[in-house]
Amino acid sequence: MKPEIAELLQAMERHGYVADAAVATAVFLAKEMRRPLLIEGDAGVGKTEVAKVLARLLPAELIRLQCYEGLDVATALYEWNYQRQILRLRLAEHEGKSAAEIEELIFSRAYLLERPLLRAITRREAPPVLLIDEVDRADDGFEAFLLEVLSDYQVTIPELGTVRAEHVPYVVLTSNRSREIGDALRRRCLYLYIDHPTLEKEVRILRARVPQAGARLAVEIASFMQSLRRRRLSKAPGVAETIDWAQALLRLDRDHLDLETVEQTLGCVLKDHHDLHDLGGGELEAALAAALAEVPPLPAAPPEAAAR
Amino acid sequence: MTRSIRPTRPTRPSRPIRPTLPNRPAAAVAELARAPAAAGSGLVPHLARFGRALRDRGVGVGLSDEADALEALSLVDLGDRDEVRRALRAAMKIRPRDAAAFDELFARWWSKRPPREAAETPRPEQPRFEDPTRPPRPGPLRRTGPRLASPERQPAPETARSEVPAGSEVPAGEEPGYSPEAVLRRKSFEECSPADLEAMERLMARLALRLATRPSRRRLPARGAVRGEVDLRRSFRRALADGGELLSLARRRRAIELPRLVVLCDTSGSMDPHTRFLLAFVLALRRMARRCELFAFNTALVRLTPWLRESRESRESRESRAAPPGGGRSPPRPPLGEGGGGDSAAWTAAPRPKEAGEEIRLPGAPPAGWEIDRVLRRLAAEVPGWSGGTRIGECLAAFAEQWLDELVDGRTAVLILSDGLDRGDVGPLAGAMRAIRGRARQVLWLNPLAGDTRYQPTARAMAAAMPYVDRLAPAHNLEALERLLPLLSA
Repeated sequence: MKPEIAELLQAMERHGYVADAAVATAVFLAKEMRRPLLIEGDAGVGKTEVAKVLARLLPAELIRLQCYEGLDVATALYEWNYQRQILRLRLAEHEGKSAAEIEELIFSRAYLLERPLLRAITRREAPPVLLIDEVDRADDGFEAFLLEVLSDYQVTIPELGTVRAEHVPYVVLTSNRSREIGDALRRRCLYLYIDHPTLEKEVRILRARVPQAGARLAVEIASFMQSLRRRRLSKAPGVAETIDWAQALLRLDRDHLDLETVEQTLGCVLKDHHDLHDLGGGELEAALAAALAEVPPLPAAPPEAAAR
Repeated sequence: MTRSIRPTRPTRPSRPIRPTLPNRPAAAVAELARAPAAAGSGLVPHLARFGRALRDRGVGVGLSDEADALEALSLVDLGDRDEVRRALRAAMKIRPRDAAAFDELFARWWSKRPPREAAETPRPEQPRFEDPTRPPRPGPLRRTGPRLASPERQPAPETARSEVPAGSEVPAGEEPGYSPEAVLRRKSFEECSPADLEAMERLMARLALRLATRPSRRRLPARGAVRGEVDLRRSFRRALADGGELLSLARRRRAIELPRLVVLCDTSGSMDPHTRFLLAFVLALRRMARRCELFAFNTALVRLTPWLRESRESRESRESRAAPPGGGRSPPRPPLGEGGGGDSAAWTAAPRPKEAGEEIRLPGAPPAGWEIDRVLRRLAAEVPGWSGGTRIGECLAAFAEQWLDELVDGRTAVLILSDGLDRGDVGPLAGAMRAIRGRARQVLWLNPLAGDTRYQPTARAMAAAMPYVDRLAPAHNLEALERLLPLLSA
C-alpha cells in the first residue's frame, strides 16, 4: 500500500472513522485527482460520515446540501434577498440616484444569499468539503445542473456575471440508490460502493464509536447484526443501527446479550413491521443462539488492540 | 484485528516500494500486467484492451473512465495489486452489480505472472460471451430471423382468425383490417387476427395518452395565471422592473409528475397468446411514462429496456432510409412466428387505414408492432427456453435482489403481467413480493385468466403473491387494460 494511503487510513481512524483500504484509496484518489467522489451503499453504512471525516482531517469547512424532490436552484445555488432589495430601492429613490446606480447597488454581492453550491465555490480561505447528500432524491434535472457546476466549478448569475471557484472544493456525493444516478454524472465522479462491514470491522467501529461498551458486548452485538443481515430482511440494519443499539444497551446497563434484552430492544435495530414479525416466535431465540455461537473466543481480546 | 490494515509504519511489502511517480508508471505496469507480446506493451494500450474486455462483458466503461483509470494508476502503488484493483474500481466507476465480472477480468488481465489466459481469451474482436445484457450487435439479430419461424411459436391468431367470420366485425370492402373500436376493446386477445392486432396497437397508443398524472412537489412558473401560490422570487423580480411596485404577482403551481413504471412480463408458454398484446400495451405506456423499465421472465429474468432503446435508434436510422410512407410499412413486419403462413397475402395486401393510424400516433412514435416483433425475435433467440416453463418466484426474487433498489421507489408502480401458473416453490415468491411491495408505490398484477368472472386466484403461486398485490386486474382484452390506466398514474 502506498504510504500516503496508509497514512490517510490512519488519519481517518484517528478522527473516528473506521475505514478500510477501499474507502481510503477512493478518498485519496478523489483528493489527489480533485474529482467528486460518488459514494453508494445501503442506508446506514457510513456514506455521509466519509465527507464529515474528510472535513475533520483536512481540516476544512463542511458545506452540506441535502437533496430532496423538488430541490431547485434557489435553494441549492443562490437567491437574491428581495426584501432587502426592495427596501434599498425605496431609500435610493429619496437619495435621487440614477437608475444605473440603483441597479448596480441592489444587484451586488451584499444582496445575494449564497446557498450551499455557491458558498462552496466562493470560499476564499481554503477549499471546503462539499457534501451533496442523497443526490438520488433530487430530480433528474437537478442532476444535469449539478453536472454543469461540477465540471467547471463556475456559476453564472445573470446580474453579476460569472463566479469562478476560488478553490476547487472537495466534493462528496452520496446516494442510497433509490434510483440510478445518470451515467453522465457518474462518469464525472470517482465511484465508491460501501458494503455492510465485516464482523471484524463492525467490532472496531463499535469500539471506536461506543468506547464504554465492553469487549464482550461489542462482539456479541456485531455478531448478531451480522447474522441479521444474512437473513432476507426487507430493511437490513446498517452500522448506524448497530451504534444506536449499543448505546441503548449501555443505558440499560447490559454487558452482554440475552434473549430478554434483545426482545425488548429489537426496535432499535429492525424498523420494519414485517421483519419484526418474521423474528417472532422461537425464531429470535434460535437466531440469537446461532449468532452467539459464532462469537469468536474472547480471551484473544483483539478488539482491545483494534480500539487502541 | 488479526489482519491489521493500518500499519503504524509501512509493513514491509512483498516487493520494495518503488518510487511510483506519475511520469514513470509504464515500466512497473508492463511488469505487473504483462500483455500478450504481440499486442504491444505499455500501460495505455493495456488499459484500453482491459476496458474493451469489460465492455464485452456488458460492463459500461467509457473512454473517459479509462482516462480516469490511467490517472488513478499514476497515483497509487503499482506494486500492490489490491490497491491497483481498488483504484481501478473507483476510477472506472464499477457498480456493485458489475463487481463480480470486474474482479474476474481483473484477475485475468492484471497478474504479475505472464497470464496465459490473458493471452488467449480476451480477443475483443471475437467476444465469446453472449451476455443478454450487453449492447446488441447486428449479427445475432439477422441470424434469428429464420429461427423464429419455427412452428413452436405458433400463436393463437392463426386458429382464431378462422373463427371470426369475414364481415361480422370487419365490414367487407370498408376499410378491411380496421375493426370498430367498441368491438375491438372487448375482443379477447386470444381471438384476435393479425389485422386486429395492428388496429389495437394504434388504439393502445391513444389510450396511453390518458395515463393520468399527479401533481408533483416541484413548482413551475405558471405564466399568465391568476390562481396558484405566489412566486415571491419572480414577483419581486418583476417589481424591480417597475421600480419596486408590486403591480402583478407571479404565480407558480405544481408540476405534473409523470408516472414511473416497472413492468415484469411473463413470457412463458401459457402466456403466449397474450404476450404480444401486453408488450404492445407496455410499449405504448412507455412513451407516456417518465420512466418505464421492462423485464421479461420465464425461467430467467431478462431486462429488456436496453433492447428497446436500441431498437428505437435503429428504427430511426431505418426510417430515414425507408421509402416514403406510402408503402414503407408492411415489408419489415413479419407476423408472429409463422402466424402469417398461408395468409400472408391477406396480411400484406390489406390496405392499412393509414390516415387513422397517423392521426393517432404520437409524434415520433413508431409502429409499435415492429418494435415488438424485434424484441420478441431477440427474446426467442437469446433467452434459453424463453417460451418454456415459468419460475416466477426465482425470477421475482432475482429482480428484488438486483434491481429493486435502483429502479423502484415510492413513486414507481410495479406491474406484473403473468397468469401465475407456476409449479415451483412459492417461498421465494412471497419473499420477493413482499420486498417489492415494501418499496413500490403500488403493485398491480395483470392476469389474463382473471378476465373470466369465475376466476379465483387459487393457483399456488398466485395465492402466495396475493397478499402483496394492491390489485389483481384482468388483462385479456383492451377494455381491461384501459380500465387500468387511472390506477397507473404517478
